[in-house]
Amino acid sequence: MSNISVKLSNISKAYHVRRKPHRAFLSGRLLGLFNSADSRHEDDRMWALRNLSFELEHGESVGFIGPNGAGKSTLLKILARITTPTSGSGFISGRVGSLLEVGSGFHPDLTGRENIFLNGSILGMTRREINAKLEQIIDFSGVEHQLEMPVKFYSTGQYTRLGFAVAAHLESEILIVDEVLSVGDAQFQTKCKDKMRSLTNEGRTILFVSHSSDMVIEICTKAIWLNNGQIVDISDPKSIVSKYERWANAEPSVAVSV
Amino acid sequence: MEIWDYRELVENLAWRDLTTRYRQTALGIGWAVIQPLLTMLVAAACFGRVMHASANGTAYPIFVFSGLLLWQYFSAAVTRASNSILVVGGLIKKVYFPRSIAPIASVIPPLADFAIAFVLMIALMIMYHIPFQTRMLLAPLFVVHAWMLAMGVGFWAAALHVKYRDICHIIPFFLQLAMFASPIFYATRTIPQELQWLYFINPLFGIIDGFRWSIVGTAAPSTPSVAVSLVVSLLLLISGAIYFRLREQDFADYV
Repeated sequence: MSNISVKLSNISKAYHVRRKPHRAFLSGRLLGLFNSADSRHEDDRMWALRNLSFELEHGESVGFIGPNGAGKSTLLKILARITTPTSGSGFISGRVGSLLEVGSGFHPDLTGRENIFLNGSILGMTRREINAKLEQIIDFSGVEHQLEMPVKFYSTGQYTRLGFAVAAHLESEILIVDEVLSVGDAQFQTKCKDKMRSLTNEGRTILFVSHSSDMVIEICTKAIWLNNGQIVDISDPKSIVSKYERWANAEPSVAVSV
Repeated sequence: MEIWDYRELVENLAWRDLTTRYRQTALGIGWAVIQPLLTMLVAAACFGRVMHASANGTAYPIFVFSGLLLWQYFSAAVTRASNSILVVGGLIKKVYFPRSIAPIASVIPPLADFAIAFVLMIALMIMYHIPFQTRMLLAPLFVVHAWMLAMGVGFWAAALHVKYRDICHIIPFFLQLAMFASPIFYATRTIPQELQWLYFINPLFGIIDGFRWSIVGTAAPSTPSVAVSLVVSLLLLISGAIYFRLREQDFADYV
């Protein structure tokens, strides 16, 4: 069995920026029905990602860093199957869990417990899996006393903790995490880091976007620096972070948050 | 099938809508009964005398209510399905799941309203001394048929709605026209000869007449109208599902 968990080859993604809002419904539909790719001009496109290729092995955790608009979130969305690349191909081995937002689908009027089941099923867990992990999830979230309360009464921190707790217990071979952990308090952040480390030790692959260099260095085994939709460099987290920060400080338009 | 793996999500989304939509409402689940009941009362007051003959011996309130029940299911299901992707837009941008889960789950809660209003229908039937008949057992088939048609229209509308917001203007208008062009307040046989073609373009004729026939015992729909209705509904459902599948991968870029 191959040890490759994620392999991307020449992935590109274009968004149509000058969509013509005045285009008539019918004509637009007829034009765009089955040939949406060819009927537009090249200059309508904004390339969020250009010819991206990389490979990851099981148990690796990779951090993506780069300025705003570098394509980090678009890349995670492609990996999470939320959107499709315009060109290129990819291969992912195993179940993908994505945490691009915490508490996806949480309904404010439902209780914490009800939302655990709702959110879990949105993330692709079965009721049986959730039941099996319910205690761990509740324990991890630290909101056991508010569990029977609608989540609209939760603080932002509690809401985040509950959301992360569900996603962290998804048995996926690959976990995709966007900048979402910055909300919890220090104690919870430590909990998250420990959890992520233990997941990689179990052989799972984590793909992670963060503006926090410390977090990338602490958690990741590899870092990828993106800029303008392209890979600038791939290497160990420490050297990438220091190179990136040197570059960013020299670049007046980019503010680095550490 | 991937959708099968996500069946619990269908249940959960439908259940989320069902349990939350009457919260913080004073009348709660009463809303499911009030809407068809008031519509029926107003229709009976306004058209009752005029339409009496049209109902062919059936009490007009019962005649209207039986048609209205299924129409309200269809109309609510189409409306909800057409909005289903935009309603869960936040989710679609953040999580992967088969997108068809959203329209499929969206037509379930109206089914619960239908069931509640149906209890009222049974009460009306007892009031008007309509005895049980074995043909009444066929009624669920027409509900399934209405679901098929609503799902077919819903798939098309949901997929188009993501890109063309015209749909949110078209659907209410389309439903209003469809309501007048369907045998809800009048009987099919009262339609003038020269308008009989309506029969063949509106699949709701076969569905509503069939449902009404099975529970109230009005004239049975003609075989051609049921056949046309079935074919149209099936074609819409299949083509809608295919079109939806072709489009679904781009939804996250447009919602």
